Formats: sequence, structure tokens, C-alpha cells
Amino acid sequence: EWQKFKELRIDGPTKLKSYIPQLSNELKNPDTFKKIYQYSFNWGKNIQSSNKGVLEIDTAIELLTLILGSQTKGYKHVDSFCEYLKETPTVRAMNRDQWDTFYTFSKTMNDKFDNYDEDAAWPTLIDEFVAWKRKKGCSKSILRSNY
Amino acid sequence: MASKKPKITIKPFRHQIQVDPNYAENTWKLLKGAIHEIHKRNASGLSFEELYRNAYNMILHKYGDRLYKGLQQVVDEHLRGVAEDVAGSVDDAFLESLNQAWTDHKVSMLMIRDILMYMDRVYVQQHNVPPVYDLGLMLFRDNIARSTRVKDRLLKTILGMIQKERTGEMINRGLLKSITQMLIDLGVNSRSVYEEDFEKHFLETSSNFYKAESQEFISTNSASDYMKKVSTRIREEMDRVAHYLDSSTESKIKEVVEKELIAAHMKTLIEMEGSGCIALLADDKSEDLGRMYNLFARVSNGLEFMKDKISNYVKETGKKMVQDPNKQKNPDQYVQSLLDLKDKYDKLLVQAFNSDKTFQHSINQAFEYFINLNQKSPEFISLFIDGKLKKGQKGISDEEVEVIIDKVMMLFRFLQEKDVFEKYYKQHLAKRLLLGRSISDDSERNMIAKLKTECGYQFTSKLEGMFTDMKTSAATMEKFKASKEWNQTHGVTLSVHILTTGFWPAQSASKCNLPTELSNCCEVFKKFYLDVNQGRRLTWQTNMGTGDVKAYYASKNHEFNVSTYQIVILLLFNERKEMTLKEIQEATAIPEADLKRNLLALSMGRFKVLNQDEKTQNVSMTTKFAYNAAFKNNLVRVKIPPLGRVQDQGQRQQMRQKVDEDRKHQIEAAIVRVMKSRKTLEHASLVAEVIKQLSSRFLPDPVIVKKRIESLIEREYMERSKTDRKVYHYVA
Repeated sequence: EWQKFKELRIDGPTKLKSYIPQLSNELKNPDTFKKIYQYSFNWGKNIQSSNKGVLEIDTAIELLTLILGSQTKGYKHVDSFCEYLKETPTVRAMNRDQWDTFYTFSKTMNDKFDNYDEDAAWPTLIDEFVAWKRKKGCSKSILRSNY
Repeated sequence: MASKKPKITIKPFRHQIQVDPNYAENTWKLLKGAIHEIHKRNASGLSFEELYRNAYNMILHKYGDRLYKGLQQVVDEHLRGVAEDVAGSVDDAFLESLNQAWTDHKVSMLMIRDILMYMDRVYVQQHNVPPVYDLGLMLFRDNIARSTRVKDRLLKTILGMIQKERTGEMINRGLLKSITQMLIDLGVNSRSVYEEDFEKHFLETSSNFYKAESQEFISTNSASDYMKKVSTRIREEMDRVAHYLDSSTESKIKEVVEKELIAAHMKTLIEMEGSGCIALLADDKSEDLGRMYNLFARVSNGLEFMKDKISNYVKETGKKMVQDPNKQKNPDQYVQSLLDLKDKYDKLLVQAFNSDKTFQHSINQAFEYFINLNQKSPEFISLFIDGKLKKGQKGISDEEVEVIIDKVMMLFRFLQEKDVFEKYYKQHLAKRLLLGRSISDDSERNMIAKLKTECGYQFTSKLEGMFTDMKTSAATMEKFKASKEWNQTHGVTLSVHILTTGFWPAQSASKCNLPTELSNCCEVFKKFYLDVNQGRRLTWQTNMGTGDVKAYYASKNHEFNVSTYQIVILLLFNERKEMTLKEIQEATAIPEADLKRNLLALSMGRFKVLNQDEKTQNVSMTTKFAYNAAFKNNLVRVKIPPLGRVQDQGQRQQMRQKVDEDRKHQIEAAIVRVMKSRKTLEHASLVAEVIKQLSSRFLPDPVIVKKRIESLIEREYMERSKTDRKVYHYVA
């Protein structure tokens, strides 16, 4: 499957964006989807200009929005997480562990973080995101959920 | 024909005892008469043998019923009469009369029982009726003790007497004892009469009495006086029980008294202004506190309550103490007040709290709490010890020093940030060793031994290394003096300490442009040393040295004992009379913060070797420093005091950063250690295990531990389990 990326010479997020609809069938399979998500970390690492072991924030935001955001439901907090990444200057990159964990986080977490356990082994990046979100948008999200 | 023997039958001899039908009645009449006489206390004329035989015969001839019923009737009738007498007596004589009736009754019944003993043995057993004596008791109980005219009056009288005694009057205790004993006996193998007719009410009225009394007394008296009174009352009640109540009442009345006098007022006693527990603690009133401890010990939760209040008070006092800005200016005072506080509570524990371990534990916890509220505690404790181990103590013997150090070690145990203490201790020890200021090697080694016992070998191995270095340096100096290089230093007497990196406090390689006189010496020594010890690398630590420099003034020549940096600075003024801070820095290359400190010591200290144009502690790049030609001092040799022992903000921040760096490494090392041995571990357990391992040095923040875990995951020392996100695996 991943060869496809190479074949079609998808070398940038914009091309990926246009290709996503074509993948939609494959994306419906949750296992495949997870693998695609995880693979995208490597792919994103390779296409970015610097050669580091982590995914730069801008790339991360684009990929998250593309891949997770493309699914109409089932993956929460993608937008607000991207907002958090944009607003927080101290966070400059995501490592693989954070990337992979975010997938699980997004899939299993409730709107209001009801089932969020601070003492569980979430990466500190996600702990900080939750704290930021709670401080910021509590009232807003309550309003929204009432509608 | 044989003849038949005649049959002889032997018939039993049937004695036809003609029992006179009146026999039974006659016998009974005889016995009845005797009982009357006994009742009239006129028994001397009776023949025991005759009466016993009569009773015996009645039982034998199956007239037991008649006898028993008759007995019952006689005694009953008699007692009714007695009841009249008793009920009719005046108040003052009432109890006496009852007591007399009881005594008489007992005497009579004993005699009657003796006469009718056969009935007790045979008839009573067979027919399952109460034996004679018990029957008498029951009749007395029903006819007299519980008769409507006697029962309530009796209770009232007894309670009245007790009340009188409680208010201080003397009463007839013997009489009361007899009466209460009577009530016990009347229960016939149970305490029911005593408990129902007396004890129940006694406990109730006592409870009300003490409720009222305690209320009144506590509102008008101090806590210590109140407690003295409580002790007295308790003693009195015990005394009362011993003298005229049944022993079974002891625990019950004790409970009532303790409840009304102590339990009901615990809070007031603790918090009372001026004399409550808190006030007593403040004033060291150990006797009153001891009394309070003993009283509160009687009540369930009493001691818990007291202990918690004391703990809170200690926490508060301690908190105020460590946050007092005045104390923080003077580390010795700070630590001394802590020591004094500990002394105070140690004494109270022994004198007032019976060395109670739970109290000791809770006070220790309070100490641990507030000592760690102030982040400077480790530094100050190290400084205090430094002070005690330095030369120049006036009039304190070695043993006294040891005692003080032992006490300080107790405070040390309370520190949570022992790694901070270690860093400071190393620094202070380094200064003491290099400047030759320790009292004695023995005291130093003693101290290290104590630290080893507390914290283990790891803590002290480097400290011991420092000692070894000093010895080795001395040996090396001897060799140097004997060598050919010794004379190549051109008049500068050089003494070198060689410090093994890693043992001594970590210093970054300090820069300094040494004047030629000094750099020359350094090269000479270096050559000598490397000849003997090839393959080693020497780095000069110019920030740790000291030296003497001669200064020639118009009036007098002086010799200054200063730090190496200061020598370098002062020698600049051989060329120029005046320089700005910037110029001095460019010439010497000494780091800015150190430069400022050293300059200030020369210009703003007690001995003004240099003049400063703006007389301020906040020097800037443009501040001018000038050679002070007018310097005067009575002594030839002047020691410029070394820089402040207490760190300033900047130094403290630096130290804190180093500590945090070290901790990061230690946390990671601990994580790896744990994962290596357990291979797979859940997040919460890993964090808990790491904290436990490091707790003897410091308390890691779980968030920081988590960050370190993530960092280790990134560096692939460990990984998250694919199946359960909360579980980690060790990566070999």
C-alpha cells in the first residue's frame, strides 16, 4: 500500500489531500487506517526540509487535519489540538510516541475529557493540551453540547 | 412316708407407728414458737438439738410441705411488722432503722437455717424451691426493701448522702456500706436488686451532677485549675466505690465521670485562651500538660484529639519560624531556633507525654513539614555545621560540639532535599579544607561517619576522597620543595593543592589572565608534577586559591591575605591608579559575577584597600575603582574576609539549576534500573518505584518522572506496549 505513495509521487501535503478521497475505501477499515496514520509519521518526517527524528509542528498539524480530520466522526479534538500546537511556542515538534498516542487519545476521549485519567501514562504533551483546553474552552463546549 | 419340713417365712417387723395426725401440727407449733423467739432475739433458751430433731422428723414423715409453707408464713408476717417500724421512722433514723432490721434479719435467718438444715438438704433439693436463707432474702426484699413506703425513700436517702459528701460534708460511710451490701445480697446470686434499685439511678444522678458542675467550673476557671479539679473528683469517686459501693460500680462511674468531665470539654480545654493546651505548650508548663495527657488518655480519642492539636500548633509555630525574614538573614540563628524548638518538644515528650511514640511520630512529622517549607533549609543546616567545625570556637569542648552535631543530624533527617544539602556540604567542606579552617581532622571524619550512617556510602565516598586529596597534596608539596624547580619561582612562595576532579564541587574551568609572576610559577609546578605523574591533566582553579600579597604604603607596609582573583586585580593597580569595572574585566578575564564579588570585598568591606566612586553594592561597568593610598590599619598582616558565606540570589539559582540537572540524571538512572530488573511495568507502578528508590535523597515530582520516561522512550531505552498504552517494556 505504502508503495502507492511513492508511485503516485505524493511528495507534499497538498497532493496527499487530493489523494485522500480515493483512499476512502481503504480508510474505512480501522486497522488499515491506524497503519496509515502511523505510517504518515515516517512519511512526514522524510518530506520535511530538516532531517530530524521528529515531526515538525507545521507538518504535524497538516497531517493531523488531513488524515484524522478527514473522518467525519470518531476522532475528537483534532481541531483544538492543532490550535493548541499553533498557540504554544514551546512545542516545536512531535515525536513518534506522542504521534502514536494521539491516535488512541483522539479515538477514545470524550468531548469533555470525562474519561481522562491524569495519572495514566499519557505523554506530557497531551496532559498539557488537556489542561490548556479545560482552562480555555470549558464554557464553550458545554454550550455546544447542549444543542 | 417322709415328713415335710414346715415352711418358715420371716416377715419384716412392721412397726405400726401410730402417727398422731396432730403430730405434724404440734411439731410445727413448737418450731414456730422457736422462730418467734429467734425473731424476738430471745434464742438463748432454745435447744438446738431438739429443734433440729423436730424439723428432721417432719421431713422424714413427709411433712416437708407443711414445714416449708409454715416457715414462709411466719417470716413473711414478721417482716411485715418490721416494715411498718422501718417505714415509720423519722428521716434521720430511717437508714439506721433499716440497717438494724437487716442485721437482725440476717442473724435470725442464719439460726433458722441451721435448725432447718435437713430441709435444705433434702426437701429443697427434691422440690426445687429456694433454700431457707434465700427464701428469707426474698421475703425481706419484697416486704421491706421494695415495699412502696421504703423503696423510693431508701434511694432518695442514699443519693442524698452521696450528694452531701460530694459537696464536702462528712457522712456515715459504714452505714452506707452495709446498706449497699444488703442490696447486693438481696439479689440472691445476682446483682439485679443493687443495679435496679440503686446503681442505675446513682449513675444517672452522678452524670447530671457532673454535667452541671463541669459546665460551671470550666466557664469560671483556667484549664489547669479545671484539670486539677477533675483529677480530684476522679480520685474521690474511686475512693467512694472502694469504701461503700460494690466494686462492679467502679468501671461504670469512672466512665460517667470521664465522659462528663473530660470528653465533653476536650475542645474547650485545648483551645482555652491563656491556659488551654496551646497556651501550656507556649509556656512549657509540663506538669499541667502531663495532667492533661493523663486525663485525656482515659477517654477514647482523647489522645488522638490532643495529638492532632499539638501537631497543628507545632506546624504553625515552625512555619512562622522558617518564614521569618529576620531569621533568614542569619543561618546560624535560623538553625539554632530550630534546634531550640526540637529541644523543647523532646523535653515535653519525656516530662509530660510519657514518651508516647504516637506523639513523637506526629511531632516529627510536623517538623518534617515545616522544615521543608523553606528551600534554604539544607543550605543553612550545612552552614551551621560548617560554623561548628571551623576553628575559632570560643569555649566549646569537643564533646559539646559532638552533642550539637548529633542534634543537628536529627534536623538533617527531616530534610527532603538531601541532595541539595550534599552539594552545599561539599562546598563548605572544600572551603574548610583548602583554607585550613577545620578544628580537627577527627571532628570532620566524625561528621562524615554520621552522614554515612544516615545516607549510605554513596553520599560520603566523594567527601572522603577530598580528605585523601589533601593528604596526597601535602606529600606532593614536600617533594616539590625538595625538587630543583622549587627555586625557579622567582621569589613567589607557591603552595599547591591537587584536587581530583569529581571529588570536589564541580567548577567550570575558570578563566583568568594571570600576571606573569603567577603564570610563571604555575608553569614551573606543572613541569615538576607532570614529570612525576605522566598522563595526567592539570587545570588551574584560579577561583579557589588564596595568597598573600605585600603592599608598600607611605606610612606602613602591609601584607594582605586575599583570594587569587583579588591578587590578580590588585596587581593591575601597580600599572594604573584607577580603572573602570569594564577595564578590569578585560584585563583579567575573570567572570563578571565573581569579579564583582571580589571587587566589592576590597572596596566596600571592612578594609578598604580600593576606593569605589559610587558607594553602592550594585556596581556597573562604569564604576571606577582606585588604589587607596590612604589605607591605614594597626595590624601589619590584614586578612581580607572571604566573601559572604551565605549565597546570594544568583548563586542560589545556579545551585538550583545544577541540582535539577543532577536530579534529571538520577531519575533516568532510576527508571532504567527499575525497568531493567522488572522488564515490563505499568506506568503508575514505575513512577511509584522510582520515587521510592530516590526518596532518601529527594522527592521527585511525578510529572518530571513522566517527562524523563518520555525522553527515554524517544531515545529507545524503553517502549510502550502495543497492547496496553499504560505498560512499558524494557528495550535491551
